[in-house]
Amino acid sequence: MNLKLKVWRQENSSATGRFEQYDAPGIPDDASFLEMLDIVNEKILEKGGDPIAFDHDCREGICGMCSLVINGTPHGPGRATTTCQVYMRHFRDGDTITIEPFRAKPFPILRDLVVDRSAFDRIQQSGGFINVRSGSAPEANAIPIPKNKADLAMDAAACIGCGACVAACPNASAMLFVGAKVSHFALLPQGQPERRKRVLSMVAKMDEEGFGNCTNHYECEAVCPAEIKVDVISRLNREYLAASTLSLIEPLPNAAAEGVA
Amino acid sequence: MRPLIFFLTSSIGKKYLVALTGLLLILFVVGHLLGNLQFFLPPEWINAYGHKLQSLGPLLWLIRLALLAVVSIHIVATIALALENKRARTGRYAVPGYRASTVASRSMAVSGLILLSFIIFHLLHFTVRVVPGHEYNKAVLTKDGKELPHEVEIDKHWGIPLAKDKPHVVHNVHGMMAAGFTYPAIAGFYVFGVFLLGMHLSHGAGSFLQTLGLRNDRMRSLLAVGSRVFGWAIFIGYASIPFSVIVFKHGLPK
Repeated sequence: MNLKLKVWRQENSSATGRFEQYDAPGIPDDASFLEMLDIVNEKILEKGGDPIAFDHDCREGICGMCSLVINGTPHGPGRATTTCQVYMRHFRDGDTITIEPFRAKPFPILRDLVVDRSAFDRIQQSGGFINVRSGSAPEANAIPIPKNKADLAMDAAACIGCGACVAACPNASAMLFVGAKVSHFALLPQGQPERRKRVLSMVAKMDEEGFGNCTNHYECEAVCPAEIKVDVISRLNREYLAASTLSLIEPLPNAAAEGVA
Repeated sequence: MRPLIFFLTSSIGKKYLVALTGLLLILFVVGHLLGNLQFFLPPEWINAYGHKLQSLGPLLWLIRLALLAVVSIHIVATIALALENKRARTGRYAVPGYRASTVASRSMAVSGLILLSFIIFHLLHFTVRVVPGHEYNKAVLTKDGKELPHEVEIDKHWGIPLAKDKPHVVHNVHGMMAAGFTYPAIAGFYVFGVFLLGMHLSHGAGSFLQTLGLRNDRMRSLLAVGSRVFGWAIFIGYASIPFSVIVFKHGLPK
């Protein structure tokens, strides 16, 4: 199939970007979207040009590294898919495809289609973990977990942290991501010791990083490749309210030093 | 105090403020509509209702100040959130793509701000009663369907009996509403205002539960449909009043 591409090109984070047109002739139907970009890049290289920079890693839909906004939709057409799992048969011969980077202040563009998503890493580092004794694996089933809780925690844990929720949100809010990470631990017994501090720290960090605020458009849920439901945002809100209320009565030790309520 | 300040200045805390004040305003909007629908009953009903509300004295001012505070918090918290959202979103996509949001959800700030200007006009019109050329006369107060003893004068233009002696003088709410809506510009602005209110609520009425942390996936379709039905029912309820005046001449002198 023969395609036309309109691709966002930008030298570095401080440069002004612009769209450039590329012809992509002879693309096989069963090429993935990233393979199509590889083919286009080889042609650019043959002509001595500068290839289009884009993020990718596993190319099997589980790592959360690929991004791209394809024709206005993060991760392109199809529900619950990452860009690497989008195949060219979703497009028609002669189509013009517009490819842009994720756009959000906390995700600065590094080059072309590559954005810096380390704001997510910093939110994770502020509380998205549990402290456990390292060593030999503990006895399985030593801590009983009800099936429904395990299912909900697993649904939340499916988040691959790709940032499509932020890219799709008209407010560039990260609440689906933070909600998923908070839910994942808050539902499991292992997450209980740090439950309060976790939600307080992660929300404080999310605000500090400059993400917007959820206004319940639910665009995030519609593009999420891991099918995270906006339920996690509702849970995030009540976890945050409960933790803040408890802090009024029973302050956390070293709260001021750690920058939480 | 520290946790409270942290909460109220955080993203989620401000969202809670908007949702809680929004819920209170929804309750007000429903109560106000039920009061207004007495327009379709004999004029004495709504006149007596208006008189009763105005006779609440200090309580009335307490309610008014509380409403002012609720509206102010709703607006100030929303503006703070909206400014943060604007800063977070760097530029639009070349191809606009919306998958789940609605016109109502994307225009909450705009519909809210236009509503604010409508509410200010509405208060000047029907509460402060200063929009010139309108029917702000007094009417007869009745009790148990019988007129209370008073000196009566028939209004020349509207043909409505007016009470002259002080103790039983009430605002002619019914006549004021009917007269106000005979002006197409005012009726038009009112219908536009309540249309925006209906649209604002078609998103807001389902949205506050999510923000308060009281929603789950099982309520999805119920809330999506319920809030639309609620919002547009509010619009139809309020718009029925100017509609009845303009189309059926309800409340106007025969």
